[in-house]
Amino acid sequence: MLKYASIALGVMTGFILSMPASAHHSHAMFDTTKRITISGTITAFEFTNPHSWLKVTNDADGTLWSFETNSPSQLLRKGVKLSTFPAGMKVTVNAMPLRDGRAGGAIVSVKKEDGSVLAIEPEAPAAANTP
Amino acid sequence: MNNSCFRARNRFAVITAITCLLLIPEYGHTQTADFSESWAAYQAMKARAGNKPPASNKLPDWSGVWTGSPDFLPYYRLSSDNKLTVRTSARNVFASSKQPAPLSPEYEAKAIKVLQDRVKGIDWDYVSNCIPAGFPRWAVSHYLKEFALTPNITWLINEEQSEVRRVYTDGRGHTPRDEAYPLFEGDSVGFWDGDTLVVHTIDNKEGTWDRSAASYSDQVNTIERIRKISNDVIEDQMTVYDKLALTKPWSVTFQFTRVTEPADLRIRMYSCNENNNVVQDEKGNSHHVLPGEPGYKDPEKMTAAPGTAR
Repeated sequence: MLKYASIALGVMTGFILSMPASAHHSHAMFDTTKRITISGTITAFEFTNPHSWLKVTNDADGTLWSFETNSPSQLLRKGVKLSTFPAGMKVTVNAMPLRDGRAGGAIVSVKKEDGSVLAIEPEAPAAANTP
Repeated sequence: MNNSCFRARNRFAVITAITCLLLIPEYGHTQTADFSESWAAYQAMKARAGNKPPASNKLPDWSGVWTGSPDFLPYYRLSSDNKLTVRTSARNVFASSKQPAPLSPEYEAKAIKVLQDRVKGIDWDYVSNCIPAGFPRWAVSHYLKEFALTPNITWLINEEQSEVRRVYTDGRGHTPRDEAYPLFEGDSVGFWDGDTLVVHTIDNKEGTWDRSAASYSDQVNTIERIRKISNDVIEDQMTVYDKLALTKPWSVTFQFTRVTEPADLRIRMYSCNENNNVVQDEKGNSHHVLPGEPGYKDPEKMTAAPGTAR
């Protein structure tokens, strides 16, 4: 039993370490194995350090969602500029949700009304057996 | 030597020893590390190089924007019997043929606890307090880097927290010991050995190489040999000395790669407190405070001038 528990611990550790490790904070608050999709209207795009934030009002129920993403220089390297997310734009955000269920998450990708998709983080959930 | 002279010298030695003891801070160790081993090695390199500061037009060209990567670190995972093993992956370019840090039992236990805590979902990093990552973690920061070279001083600049390492190459020594204290970037002196900048750094704060990597103590000191090995790569060969964290000096090589996309990318001032709502929860874990919740720091209000209506 202990042996199997230890193996599970090792596998879990490998999984956890496969999450983004070099951000300003731990990603432990996000469930990196899950994705949520929120369609709504951009209320603010905070192009700030240590992280940028996309604030989106959910069209379905009016809830304000707070989505964290990279720092400005990291976003610029991915082609995202301040003008990419103007207030009032309709978007569908694909994100890793906060584990505690509050209205927040870490952006994986953002789909615009024209169908174009901006990928911010790797789409596939981290595999448990990542070496 | 006559007896009176010997007694006088003895008294002087006793007074000196007592004075030294009184100067030791009450928390039990000196404020700065013993760096005699790395200093001797550095001085030998300096003697071989001849210590001739280059003319401005003889300095290498390290212009441009660069970035570091934690992928040069040996990340660990726990084996089935709770031992540390180096994790290799396509992303982690720290090849298994390289030697991981020879951690002391105390620091190996720390690294194991970090991994065990993460399995429990407990994960925290002091940089989330908007504390600078500091050196030597500086070397693996994945933010942008820029290098400003002059004959007498080189600035090694990191975008994250606008951290700047000043490397004096004008022949001066380290800060006098009675003026020194632990610094995020340490205290660096150096010299040019051809196109290689050799840097000796002491007076660092304790820290971690990365959240899921090993830690170093405030006794850490380093020798670096930094040079451009190709148009797009600057290499930093570092030897790490740390009598608390390591059982012997550890040599590791980091690389900084040129950022070419977008071509006009600039390093800009970075203030971590501009928009930071990460706090440590009661379990010791990272936690986001969201808009509307108690303690939320609105970034617009954070930067508003005094007198602004709220």
